Amino acid sequence: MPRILVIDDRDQTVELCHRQLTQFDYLTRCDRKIPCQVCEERERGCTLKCAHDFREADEVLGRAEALPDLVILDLHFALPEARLLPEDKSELPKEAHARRTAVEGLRRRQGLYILDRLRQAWPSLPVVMLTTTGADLDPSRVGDRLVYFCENEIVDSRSLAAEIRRALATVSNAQDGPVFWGKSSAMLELRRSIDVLARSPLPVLVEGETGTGKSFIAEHVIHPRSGAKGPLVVTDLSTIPAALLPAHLFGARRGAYTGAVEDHAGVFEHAHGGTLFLDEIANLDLDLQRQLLLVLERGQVTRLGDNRSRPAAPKLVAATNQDLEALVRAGRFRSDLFMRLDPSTRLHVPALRERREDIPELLRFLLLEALRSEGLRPLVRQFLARFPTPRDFRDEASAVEFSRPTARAAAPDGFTVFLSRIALRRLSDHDWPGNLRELRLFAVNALVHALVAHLDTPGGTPTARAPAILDLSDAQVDRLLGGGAGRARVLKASRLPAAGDRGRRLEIDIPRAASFARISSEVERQYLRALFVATDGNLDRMGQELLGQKGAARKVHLRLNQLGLRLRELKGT
Amino acid sequence: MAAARPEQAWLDQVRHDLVKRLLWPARDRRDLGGAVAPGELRVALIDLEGQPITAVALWESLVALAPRSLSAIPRQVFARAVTAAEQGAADDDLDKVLALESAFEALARAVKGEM
Repeated sequence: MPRILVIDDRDQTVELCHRQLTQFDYLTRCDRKIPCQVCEERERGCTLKCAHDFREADEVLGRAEALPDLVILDLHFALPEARLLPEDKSELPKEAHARRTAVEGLRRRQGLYILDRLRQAWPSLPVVMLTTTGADLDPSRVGDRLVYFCENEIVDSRSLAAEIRRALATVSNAQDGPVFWGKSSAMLELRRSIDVLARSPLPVLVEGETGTGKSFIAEHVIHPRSGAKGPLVVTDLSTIPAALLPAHLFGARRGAYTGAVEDHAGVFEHAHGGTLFLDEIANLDLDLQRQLLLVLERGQVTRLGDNRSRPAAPKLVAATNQDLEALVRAGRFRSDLFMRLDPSTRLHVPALRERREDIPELLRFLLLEALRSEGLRPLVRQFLARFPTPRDFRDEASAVEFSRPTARAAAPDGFTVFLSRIALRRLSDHDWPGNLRELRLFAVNALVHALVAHLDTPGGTPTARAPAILDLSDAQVDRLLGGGAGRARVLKASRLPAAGDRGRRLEIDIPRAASFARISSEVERQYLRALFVATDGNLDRMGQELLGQKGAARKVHLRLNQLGLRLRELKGT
Repeated sequence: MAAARPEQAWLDQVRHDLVKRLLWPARDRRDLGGAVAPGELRVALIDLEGQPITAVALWESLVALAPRSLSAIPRQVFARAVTAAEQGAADDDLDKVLALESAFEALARAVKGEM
């Protein structure tokens, strides 16, 4: 059960969470294992329910055996001056009235000070922040993907609980075991479809560009969720010589062809009762497509040179990066097999450029995954032998920060990878033709360059321990991206010509879409994104231009939300 | 994000520090239906430093922070609504507490008229 720590000057929020969000466990200052609402100390005015300021939060987090999965943090803290951050208040005005105003400012923004301190000590701790409309938030925090700003302009507790629940789901569900789903609507749709189709006995067709992770999804998501007791068998049809394909798929008897020295089963038989993943199914010729269709319909297979049928009824997951409908029209793919694969329920794995909003968190995930991988272990060990960390190194303490490198923000017991926001923007704007595979390679390459650069620095072994900082410089990122070709996209959007009598003109990338609804929403999404950049994020101006009326900012905001375009994400692009 | 105008910021403060906290249990009860349990509507209000304070005293401290441009707003009318809501909370009278909603809306309209 996920554990939550509430940091709030009042106990109202933690009591609300206890009452309405019972699916979570809570970290309280009393360390009792029972929820507050059934605790006898509650009636005696217990003051240990939540952390009421940073000092108490620090105490709880430092004492806890394991960090909580999430922190809920209020913005406004009504506390005496001495309990407010920053501890050093020498820069506050001395004159009484000015000081009172300054201290009140600290109270109103205390949550942000606490957030900064949490980030320094626990860089990867997700935070749901309860804000109020109009709060003047630090732009760097608005772009922090581990912080969810939950609007707290709600007067009844049930609505606030619903908002917190939504925030918690958003923050905690982006990753699921080895799969990083992200928060984009395209991946959300894919996830929902998989949840249903994985449990169906019918074949599943997975479409997507090269490198989008089709086989990974088949292996790590569809097969485990299918409930099949049999094995998963993976075959990439593009890597097997055409002459060997029939025997590979259906098996062969000894002597059926030259080189068949003994009887052997094909992949259909091997996968019986389990899942058969056929990658690049468009590579099959028409005759093999016919045989495949027969096997699918009968649930039996006959090995080459044999006349006995054997059971072969796996759940078939077929993948392709080609347009099967076009191949059917061109006569290169059998329409009956295409229909058997049920095109109405096919899964579309989005290209990375269709889910740009996921790139920052995905990159964080891939960098940490690469740092912990076997492949990089020798370099990591060499690095730590030469540059020991201040505290004993722990794999899980490593973190990724999207900022300029500072020792203050570095973890004392793990690697801290720094990547500037400029570099992050370049990465988000890059088109990633190789998709997830290309991004994963980028992450590994970037780390190898950073580690080797440190190891090749001349000089003896330093005696002092120091934070393990890996700085992925902007120049290095540019080089790995091949000269920063991706920047054209931002320039294109920011140069969206001013509206004239004929309106604006914009070049839009339309994905190979599954429906008309998807095409129109994608067009609208890209147009609004470009207009946001062109109007410097001024929603009023956007409203005036889009709807021809003043004061339409709220309508624009609502529409952006409906299209899954979050203001803080747009501001970060 | 641009900083809010002082009048709007003050109104937000009144809503956050006083109205929201005073109304929260009453709105929960209204939405859930059913009878008010004894003491259910009472809330522990706090001042800027986290010390316990009555609703009326809190309103007076907020009035002291109001921008000069708001000198003409009907402070006394809202003060009466706050007093009635606090009394309603003590008496388990749901309607008296909920009446603060419309009083705050009237206050907000008056503030916006001065902006």
